[in-house]
Amino acid sequence: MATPRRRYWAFAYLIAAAVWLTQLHRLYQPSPEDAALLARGQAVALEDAEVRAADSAHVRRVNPEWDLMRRMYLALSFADLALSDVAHRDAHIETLDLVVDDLLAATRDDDPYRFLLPYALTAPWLGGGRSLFLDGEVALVLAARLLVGPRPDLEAPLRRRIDAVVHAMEASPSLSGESYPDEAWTFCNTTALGALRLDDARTGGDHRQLADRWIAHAKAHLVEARTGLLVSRYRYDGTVMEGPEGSSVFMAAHNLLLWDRPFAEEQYARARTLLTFEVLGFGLAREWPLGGSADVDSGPVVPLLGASPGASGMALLGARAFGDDRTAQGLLRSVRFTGAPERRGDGETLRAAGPMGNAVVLHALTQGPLWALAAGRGR
Amino acid sequence: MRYRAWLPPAAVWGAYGVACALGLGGAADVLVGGQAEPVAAAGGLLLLTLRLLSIAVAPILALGALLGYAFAHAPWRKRPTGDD
Repeated sequence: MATPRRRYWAFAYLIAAAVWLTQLHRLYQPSPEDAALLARGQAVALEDAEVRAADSAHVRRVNPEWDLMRRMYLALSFADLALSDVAHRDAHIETLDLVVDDLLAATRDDDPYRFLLPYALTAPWLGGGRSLFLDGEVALVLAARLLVGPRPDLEAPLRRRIDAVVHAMEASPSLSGESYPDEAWTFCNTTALGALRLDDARTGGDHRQLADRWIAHAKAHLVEARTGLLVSRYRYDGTVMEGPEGSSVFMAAHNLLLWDRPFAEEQYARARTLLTFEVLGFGLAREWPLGGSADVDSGPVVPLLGASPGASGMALLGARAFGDDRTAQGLLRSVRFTGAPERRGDGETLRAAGPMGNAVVLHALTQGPLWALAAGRGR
Repeated sequence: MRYRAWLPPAAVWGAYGVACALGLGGAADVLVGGQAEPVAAAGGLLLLTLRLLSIAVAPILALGALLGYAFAHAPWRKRPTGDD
């Protein structure tokens, strides 16, 4: 039986825990200035070629895919900012061009292995030897840049990537290009569809039929029965390899907004229900709806909760894209809690999030205008 | 251990946790490090975990110690505990 003295102390710690843990989230309230601060922090880093190279080397040590994905998210962010922040439009385009030029230089030799994990070397390509991961993301970046404003030197590279995307998807039995040999991803294929939509919006082209066929195929073959969510990874012939993942499904829903809003909204709603949750005011997202083990996409998984930084970052993108403010606020509190934000001058960097995390969060905070422009102009 | 012995370290760690929570930088930023990438390096992940624990747990220890001290000396207490 507890002595009175022990009861006093237990009561004291109970009160302390209740007070601190229930109020802690209030110290991490998102601010409307967050996007501008983070954008400034990223712009300053991008202005320095040495920092750009160091950040690139840094993310490559974790995952070479991130070296491409980070550039894509940064490009989309500054394209969105160029459209929304008219007062600083020229500065945002200047930063965007730094990202675009760096990307063109890094992809000039068309070597897909530069951005792929080493297992890409262990199997033969079935669809012509090009990676839709590379073609789709480069096409999206170039299409975004050209939607913001003219740059004639990008027309030919974009046309080449768009043709490669269309050819890869049309030639595939699953209407999906390979990202890795005999391995397609919903993330990459919906990103490629996003590039087509952005390109259509500017050129008047029409890839609606291809997009509709891909979505019909996805609804029939790539939606997991148990969860109703799009799977993440499948073979060239469409055989499912891996079920839904938080680091894929939120991005896929975001991309599908450009072609099929009801389907995209349904995917987001299901993903939010199955993957996101809140603890003491902090929003988190799981990588897997039904459990799994940490991998390079998820990042470290929080024990007991099953939350991962990869899924949480993408959930933030989804929440922002679908106007789910409550979920976005909770996730942003977690970003500020775990990201260790550091102010430098008029910019901010999330020191613990690394270059990739900063790019994803910035895109989540800035996304909107580009998609709205493309969806509004599309057929 | 008598509470007076661990009240000071709890208070210091708690103050550090509160400083981290308030984003007062300094020690917190030094701990996290300029290029800390939780996914990339086990060291970065460990430091980040320590920082988060400092924010989430240390203030509870400090506040609990202060409250416990206050309770121990509250005028409504009938029996001395022998702690003081």
